[in-house]
Amino acid sequence: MNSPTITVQFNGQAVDVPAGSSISYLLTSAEIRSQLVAVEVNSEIVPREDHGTYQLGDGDIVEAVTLVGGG
Amino acid sequence: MSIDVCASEELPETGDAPLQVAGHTLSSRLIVGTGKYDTLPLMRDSLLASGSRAVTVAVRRERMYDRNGQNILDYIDPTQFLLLPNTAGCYNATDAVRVAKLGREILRALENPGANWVKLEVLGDSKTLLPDPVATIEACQRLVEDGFQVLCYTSDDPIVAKRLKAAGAASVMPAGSPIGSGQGILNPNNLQIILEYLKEDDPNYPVIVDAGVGTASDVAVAFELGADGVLLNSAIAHARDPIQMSVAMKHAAIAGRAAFLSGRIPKRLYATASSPQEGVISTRPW
Repeated sequence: MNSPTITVQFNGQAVDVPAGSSISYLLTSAEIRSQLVAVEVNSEIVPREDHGTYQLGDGDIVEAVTLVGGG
Repeated sequence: MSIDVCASEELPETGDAPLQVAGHTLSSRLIVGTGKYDTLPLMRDSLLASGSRAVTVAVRRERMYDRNGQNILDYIDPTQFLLLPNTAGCYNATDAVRVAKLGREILRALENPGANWVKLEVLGDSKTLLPDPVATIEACQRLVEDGFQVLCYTSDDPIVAKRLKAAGAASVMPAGSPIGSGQGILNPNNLQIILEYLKEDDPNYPVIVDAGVGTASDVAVAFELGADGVLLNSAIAHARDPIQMSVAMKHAAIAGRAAFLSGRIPKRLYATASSPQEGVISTRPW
């Protein structure tokens, strides 16, 4: 039997992850280097220290941003 | 953790003090952007050639830019440069505050001492990229309340500049001309008024010319007028030889600043001879 999944909007795209997934899981599965990003869930920043324990919910809007060239 | 970005480079012999802004001491008065370079290695070499110790960066969704997995931080040593995150691309105060907080969160985790400062940019429209003064003042107030040191990009309007300083901006950064336009300093009179107003009772208040620089003489002019710093990006990144242009900008900043400190002669309509008028053996035509 498959474990239940939830759908989150991750940087504007719908992504299915197992229910109970953490932010760290989401970043790792997208091959994103977590030390270089800041993460918002539903427009609230989740501090890096909490990425491993923060459980995502169905329909959460997740943004992971990093630094790029700019003036 | 604290990084003394001033330590590894001596000040040029101009009798000048380092730039003090937002609690940071910078041995170079140039702040350079990291955008628009053809390659990241070229950006890295240009930043080093400019002598700058503070560089601006933007905040964007991960993977939207470099799908090879390269990150700009692989090419900027955060122990050598203070990172100054911007809010570029924001058109209202709420978005700008949100982006500033995300930038702070990234820098906090990197243990970069630039974590609490931000280059605030709230734009009015995408064609001119001119700032929205009302939204910029509102965002500045909100960020100051949140503990940010705010370096405010603004137009060259002296009244708005005064309002931003009153709102708690750590530095007001008037544009010389529109972003990326390369037109230099179009209204030196306004810049002079801004400098006079903001430094009237506070001579060390930092005013940084941000945007519009096209070439080295524009940088020199900004410093000759009395600016404390210059922030530029396109003039280096889009020069045919960005590394050479970085060297030019570095020297222009030193030259312009030294000229300002030296006190230029007033402009006169007629000539004043440099050689003595007495003891001349030739005859005069009149």
